[in-house]
Amino acid sequence: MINNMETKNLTAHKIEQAIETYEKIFLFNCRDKQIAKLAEDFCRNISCKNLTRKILVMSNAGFPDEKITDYKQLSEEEYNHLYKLYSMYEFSDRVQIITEESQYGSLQNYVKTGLLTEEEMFEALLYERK
Amino acid sequence: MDKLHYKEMMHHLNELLMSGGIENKNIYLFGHCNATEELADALLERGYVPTAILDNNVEKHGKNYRGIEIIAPQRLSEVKTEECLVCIVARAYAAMTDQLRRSGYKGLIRKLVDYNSYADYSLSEVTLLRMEKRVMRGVKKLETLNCRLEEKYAGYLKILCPFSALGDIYIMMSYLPCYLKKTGAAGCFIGVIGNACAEVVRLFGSYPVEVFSQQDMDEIIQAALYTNDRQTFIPHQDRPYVVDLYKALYVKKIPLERIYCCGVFGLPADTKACEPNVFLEYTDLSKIRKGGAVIFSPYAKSVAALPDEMWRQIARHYTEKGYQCFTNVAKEEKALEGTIPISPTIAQIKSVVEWAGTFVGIRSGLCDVLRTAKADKMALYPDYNYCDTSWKAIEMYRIEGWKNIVIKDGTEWLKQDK
Repeated sequence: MINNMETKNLTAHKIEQAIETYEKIFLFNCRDKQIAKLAEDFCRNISCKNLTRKILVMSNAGFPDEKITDYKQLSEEEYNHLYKLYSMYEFSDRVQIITEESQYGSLQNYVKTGLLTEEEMFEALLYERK
Repeated sequence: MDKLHYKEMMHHLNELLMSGGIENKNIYLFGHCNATEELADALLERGYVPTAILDNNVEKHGKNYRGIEIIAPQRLSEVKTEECLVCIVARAYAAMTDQLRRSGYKGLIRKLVDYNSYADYSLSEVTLLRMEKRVMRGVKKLETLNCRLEEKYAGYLKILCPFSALGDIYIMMSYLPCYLKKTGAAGCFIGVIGNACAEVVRLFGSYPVEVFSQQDMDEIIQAALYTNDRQTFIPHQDRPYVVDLYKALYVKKIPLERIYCCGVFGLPADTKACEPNVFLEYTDLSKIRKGGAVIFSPYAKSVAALPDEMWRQIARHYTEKGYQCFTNVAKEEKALEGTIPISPTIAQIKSVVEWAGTFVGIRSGLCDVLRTAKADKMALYPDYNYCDTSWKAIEMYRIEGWKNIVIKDGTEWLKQDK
């Protein structure tokens, strides 16, 4: 239990540092093939944009060749801890985990039903308050 | 704002006043919404004039509420923040505080209503422990609920509605059957907050429905997320925080019905909404002049109110035309001047409106309940933007087959009713 708590605190500390550095942090659950494809498209999308904000992309599986500056691959254990933390409470509005969800609706539903294009979905994810 | 939250806000406001924490401060309110307007009213009644309302929506900047200007939060950097007090009664308290602190604001911030138990923008050990306790409390509640449901409703999906809003529940229910068909669920159990929401569920048939407190609902939903309970579905567009559907509105206008149909449930855009079919007849219909009466509905929990003067004009207009005028009221709400108070249940209101022949109401969830009523129906929209988007409320909530009217400053009713 104590070790578990220590690991959790370590994850919390790392994400806390990332929140201080980055304005948006996306964690893709690339164990799911569709999400892995989405992550690839997302990276391609942001690599050709001249974004003024610092964005961190993380994943729990091998990542595309696409050149993006800030990318971090997490181990399964790190991913699971972060996922648990994310599903425990809202600790920031800068972090978003992208996964195939059946418990609630998501932007991906808009793409699947033709209301948004994938490009528009990325724009929505990256939206910055004026 | 509902009664419980209003009571909580007033309790915290009184504490603040008693402590003297508000004296000689420039008071700012963050987030222009119905709750903030109620706080502004309470402050003005006590002789405190807020300096401004802060809001991130550029569309609102320059407008005002009772003379209090709506400005960008960044404008706080132009003032001496040690002389400032920012009061927040919005759900996004944690995000707003984070925004202010990151922008360099060092003055006081006070939360006067705890709307959102999901959020605490801290990762300190103390917060982690507190949130872990909260989620474990939820896990126990979820387990108890699951045990109870297992006996009667094995294999059923739990539909947990995180927010008490009649309109949301109505639209959710009208697409739920198609969603259940899509998922192949054996059936569903529906959890809601407040009896009124349960009444809306019952309009759609004999679904097992149970009423939860806001706290229990929040904690059970959190537990369902934490334990990845696959038998739970949370049908909402922006709650809890993991739901990102609202972000689409920053790039595209998607009316609320489409949000539920396509976003929440993932159903094709041409899915036909189901209509409610369990209505009751109001017992005192004979007291209403058939075809010669009008039902006014001026009150809404989460919509900015229309000016009293507008309702006076509307009531006068219908009275002069010879209509028998009623105001739909609940508990302490007052009937409009010169009108008769009437309080049918949600299941009865349709019969009242159909009998009367005319309905004029602020665009609230009650209008959804009355969508299928056969009568002349008018929905009135205060001229405001939906959340922090650039879309007007009327663009999000317009109802087909109704007269949808935006009420702007200086609108004259006679010119509208043509």
